Amino acid sequence: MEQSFEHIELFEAYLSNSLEDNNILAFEARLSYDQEFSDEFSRFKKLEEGIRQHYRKELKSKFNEIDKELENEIVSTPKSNIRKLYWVTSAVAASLIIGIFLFNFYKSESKYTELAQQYWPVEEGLPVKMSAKGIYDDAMNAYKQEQWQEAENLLLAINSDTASYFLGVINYQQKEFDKSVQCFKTISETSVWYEQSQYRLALAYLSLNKVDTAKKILKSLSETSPFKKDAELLLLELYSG
Amino acid sequence: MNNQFQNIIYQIKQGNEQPLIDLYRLHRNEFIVWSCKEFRANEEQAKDAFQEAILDFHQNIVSGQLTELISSEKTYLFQIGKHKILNLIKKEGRITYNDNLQLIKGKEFEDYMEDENKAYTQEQISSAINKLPEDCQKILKLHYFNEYDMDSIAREMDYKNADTAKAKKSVCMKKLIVELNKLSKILLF
Repeated sequence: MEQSFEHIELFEAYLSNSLEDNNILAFEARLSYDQEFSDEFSRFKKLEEGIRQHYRKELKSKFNEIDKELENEIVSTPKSNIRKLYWVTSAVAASLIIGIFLFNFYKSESKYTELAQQYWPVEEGLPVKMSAKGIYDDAMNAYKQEQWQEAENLLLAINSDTASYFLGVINYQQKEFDKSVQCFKTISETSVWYEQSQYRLALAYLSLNKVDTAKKILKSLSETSPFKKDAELLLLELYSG
Repeated sequence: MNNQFQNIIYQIKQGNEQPLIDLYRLHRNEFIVWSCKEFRANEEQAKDAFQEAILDFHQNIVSGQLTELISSEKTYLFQIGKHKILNLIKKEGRITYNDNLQLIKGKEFEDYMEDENKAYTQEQISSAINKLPEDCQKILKLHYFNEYDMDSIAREMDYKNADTAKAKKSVCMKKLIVELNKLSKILLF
């Protein structure tokens, strides 16, 4: 399998376009009539590709290290969830002492909040233009980094349906469902955000345990709503259980 | 033009990988969630696609194809990642190489295997590069990964001029082939 490369300089010159015109023609002609030369050139190009792949893999291994770091962070989250669960369980136990009614109430509320969360579409935020500074850029940068408080402050300074829509999303993310409902309700039917807002409004109501209101909104979504199918699936779940 | 993106271009062209690491760290989780939801990709597929997207982003910058963005870096990366993941899913859905290979009979099969054996494997190439002197590794990386021209390599490596860099690079390629041939012999005996 030992390979010899007798024309490295020539191949490099050809591939870097530094051969003169007549030499290019001679090179290409030789590729067509000299099989050995042509094979050697193919192997050289494969070797070059292998070198490129080596350095791509080197960088990929750095990304894999980051994956491990991030996954460790995720693994550590359940620990805090266990602590949370402990306190939630204690709270539920305490509520049992107060009465079965309250226990059931909180149980069902948590169930609907979780269901709403499952159907909540990820809002990626507006693209931040590179060419010109837009009025939402700072707010969107904060939003994309999940700096909710900063994004909220910046959006509160803007009076528009876009700002109201994103405020609704931010309040939902912060589990301020009442505020989220108020924001989504301000979006008028003429707004480009209306259909998205209506669907999210239903999910915010659901999180507040206002199941009938949520159902009513979900049923009223127009056929053109991008969330029509999700709404139908959610309605099925709500009616079946 | 956005200063942040211009700074990223500048840093990457200088051979600094940190902006790529930062972008990966910043958007990786969101990409995984998004692609798992949108394309029913699994986590491994999503991770792989996003890594490839970052590498292509790097490639497009160093090759001079990407000089400005009309969207955010995140949108750009998600767009590339989306195509990567769709290709990956398609590709994995039609992996039947082993089955197909068994269908190739006789001389055709021998020719196929001979062609395969002629080429160095990626593993051999990586091992051989790691055995090269540090300056050779750096030259190869600058040329093949960072796409530096010979003038830039000469500046970076403190060589007299582009011709010196060119000659040095050829020497490094020859050393690489020597290492590869040594590895082949080890495998044979």
